[in-house]
Amino acid sequence: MDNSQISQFYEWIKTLAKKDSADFDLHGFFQGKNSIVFQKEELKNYSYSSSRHLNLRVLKGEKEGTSWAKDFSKESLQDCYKRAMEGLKLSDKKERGELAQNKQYEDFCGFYDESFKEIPLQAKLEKAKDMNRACLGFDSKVQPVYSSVSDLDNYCFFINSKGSQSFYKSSDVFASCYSLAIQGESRSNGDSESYAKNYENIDFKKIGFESAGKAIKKLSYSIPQTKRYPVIFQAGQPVGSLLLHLADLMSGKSIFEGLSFFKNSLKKKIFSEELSLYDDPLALWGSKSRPFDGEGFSTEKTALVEKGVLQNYLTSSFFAKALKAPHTKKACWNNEKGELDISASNLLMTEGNNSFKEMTGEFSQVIVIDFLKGFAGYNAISGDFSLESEGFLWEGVEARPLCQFTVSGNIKDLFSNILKIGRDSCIFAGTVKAPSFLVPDLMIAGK
Amino acid sequence: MLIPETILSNVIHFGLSQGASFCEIYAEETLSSFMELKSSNTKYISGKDTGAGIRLLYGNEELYTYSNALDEKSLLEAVKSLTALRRLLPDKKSLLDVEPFVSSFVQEFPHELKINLEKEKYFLQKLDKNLRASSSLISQCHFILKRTCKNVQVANSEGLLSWDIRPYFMFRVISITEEQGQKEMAFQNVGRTGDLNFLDEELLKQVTEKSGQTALQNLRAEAAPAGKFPVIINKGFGGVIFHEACGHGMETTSVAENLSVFADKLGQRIAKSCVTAYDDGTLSGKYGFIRRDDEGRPSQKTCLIEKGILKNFMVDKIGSQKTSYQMTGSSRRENYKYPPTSRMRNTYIAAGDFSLEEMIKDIDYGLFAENLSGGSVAPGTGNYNFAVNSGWLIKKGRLDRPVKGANLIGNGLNTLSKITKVGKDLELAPGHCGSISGWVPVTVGQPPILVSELTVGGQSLAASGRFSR
Repeated sequence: MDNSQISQFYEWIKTLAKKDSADFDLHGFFQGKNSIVFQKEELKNYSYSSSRHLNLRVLKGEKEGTSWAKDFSKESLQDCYKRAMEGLKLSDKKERGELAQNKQYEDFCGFYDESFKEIPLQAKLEKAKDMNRACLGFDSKVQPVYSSVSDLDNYCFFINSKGSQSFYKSSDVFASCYSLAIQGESRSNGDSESYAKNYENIDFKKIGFESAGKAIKKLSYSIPQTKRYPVIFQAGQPVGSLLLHLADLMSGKSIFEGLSFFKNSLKKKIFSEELSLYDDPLALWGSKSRPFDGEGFSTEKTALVEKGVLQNYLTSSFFAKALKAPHTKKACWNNEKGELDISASNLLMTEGNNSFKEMTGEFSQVIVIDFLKGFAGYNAISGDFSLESEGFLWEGVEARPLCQFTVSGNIKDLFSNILKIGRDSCIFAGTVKAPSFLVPDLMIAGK
Repeated sequence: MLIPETILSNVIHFGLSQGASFCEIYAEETLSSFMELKSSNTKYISGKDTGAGIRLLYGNEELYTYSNALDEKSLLEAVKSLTALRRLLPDKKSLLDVEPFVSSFVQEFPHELKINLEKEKYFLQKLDKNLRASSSLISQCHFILKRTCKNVQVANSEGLLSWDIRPYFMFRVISITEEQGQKEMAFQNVGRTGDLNFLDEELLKQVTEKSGQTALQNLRAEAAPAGKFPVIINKGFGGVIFHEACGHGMETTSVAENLSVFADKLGQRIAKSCVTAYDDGTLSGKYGFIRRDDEGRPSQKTCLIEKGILKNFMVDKIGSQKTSYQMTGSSRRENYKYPPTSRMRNTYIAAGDFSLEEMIKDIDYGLFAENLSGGSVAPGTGNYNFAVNSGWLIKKGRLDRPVKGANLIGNGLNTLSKITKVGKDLELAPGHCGSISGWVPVTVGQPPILVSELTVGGQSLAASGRFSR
């Protein structure tokens, strides 16, 4: 995509908007994606795709309407404008956002590592094979369900009727391995993943080993007794998933619509004093980094929680105004729905000072959860959760692996009752950097 | 016509010239219309999506690409993007040529959804007003009316040229209740295929009322108990248990790689004789109905379990190549961005002999899981979970008190063997199933069933001791 094409789109929409005395912004997204999947010892799938997506927001009076297009012909963009105006007219939501004013941004190079493009396809294939071989070679009882490597070459632009214009490029490399161990009638899964802006910063063999190691360890699992236990949620998938759900409750939209129990909680201490949480759209370690938000406003690191006090909501220009809260510039396009939504970018939880041993402290038995299997058992309205889990029992030493049990409680209570935080931060899914934490008392249902 | 036959033929021919043993083009044009009423305010969004996915098979190796542009140059460029990798793999020369196309049927695509938006907006406002008026404890209502119409074209190197028009209708209501700072919610869905202009107002009123009643019930409900005991899983969306516990493990995606606990059980008894189960894509009007699957083959009714014996799997082209099982017309994908895999359509346990009352009366202590939401499964281990939104504690053969919020977990093979009673009253319910080929519309279903023992992940101690909806 070159600037002359973007200018052409802009002119087409501008002509139509002028007739309606409307303002507009255009948000475009282009992506080239390579993906390699191995299963057992064979290449299962290789795909390359080049996709594009254009979001349009039209604003007039107190209302706004949105639509999207993937066909970039003049006819298609005119149709897109017509649909956005139709939405605007039918809407009775007086939720008009603001337009970013006259800002011209330079390209933000920090999110893009050119080196990933120089890796030949043969080398990418070998890296995926390395991961697969490491998993297969770990133990004869284990096989990779899949070993997957993908890289993304992203280009994003923003332009609006007030003359604001910006763009950025970003690169992402993801690698993951999901394995299955079988011994007689016993079966267990293991997984591991990593994210970076280039291939050099990913240890592919380690991912394969880790995935296989977890699967083998759980072959001899047992089911814990049903009772209350102290619980450690391990850094990685368990803590990452919980924090993503917690951040959703801090969305200004959810607060405004009365869907979040954090309404009227700003500047109040509602969490454990141990907890500090930030949203950092400029972090170089994250896959959701963005120099400007979906409305074109320049982004910055935001304190969500500091020492247990809720400091900010995630807001767009409209919801900041409606809630009389700071504008934290978290507008984000939901491409599937064609709607301007709100979302966190990269979440960062502050580390504690505790080693694993210090966290378990005086407790004779601690359940350590290293995997939460889906969030169907989470109720975002009440905050109650009941989640299938895997992990191990700690009795001064790692006593035995555990599967087939649930952990249940309430998400607000969970983050209020954090007793200790580890110093073992790691990145989950390229979007959350957080350490393990201990909660002294949670219900575990097993046998 | 999305892509003219000459272009299809040229692109497929080029695909084969790169040594592929099979080449397929899946093209799609989708119109979407989304109306939402939240906080008594209406929002409307509509849009159009177009794209084509091209698949080359080299034996069982799959190369896939897609493009948002449907012209010949863009499609040929997309195929070329795959051949760089092809050169790195062991050479396999294709001696095949493109067969002449035999078109399945052609229907008229609407190109515009003709919906009376003002009328529907008024209807949602009326539902909202009535629901709020039904109780002062209802603090929030959320309604969604979503319509999607897909124009799907599939062509392949074996001469298949298939068309399908797929109109999907989905209504969702979420009720939120609040009392003294405690909030609860409940939701109901209606989903079907067929006439997009038809709005069954009476049905939508009924499910709206039910959602409000369940959210009110949850305000009074206690936390569900934790432990292992008998569970009756309700009809309709209760069928998510079969979907998660067994259905995914019966797709050749996992069976063909021996990554399913069911892979070596064909022809064997895996359940008591009261259990018969189907996956049926031919149920016209149901949310998982398809005339043709996403490889262009006619949909079928597939018997999975007959009187406890595993009879069939759900089989796509690659699954068939690997296992030699016959294809079952159950190859599906969310859209052109995904290569197809074997997936469920309308999956259900067939009706049995018992009334709900007969099942409850024999239970001393247990759970009636009345309203369920989504779940997930790991087919390799068969371990699954699904969530109970609301239910009842059963004590001494009677429904004792409402309970809420529990995850039910188990192992598919183990749970199947513990289904001891199947009810008379079969019902299907719509939902969306997510897997490696994306999210597809499905129905799940069953009459009420009794599982003699399940792990219930509630929050209180018992007195005795990746579905999305």
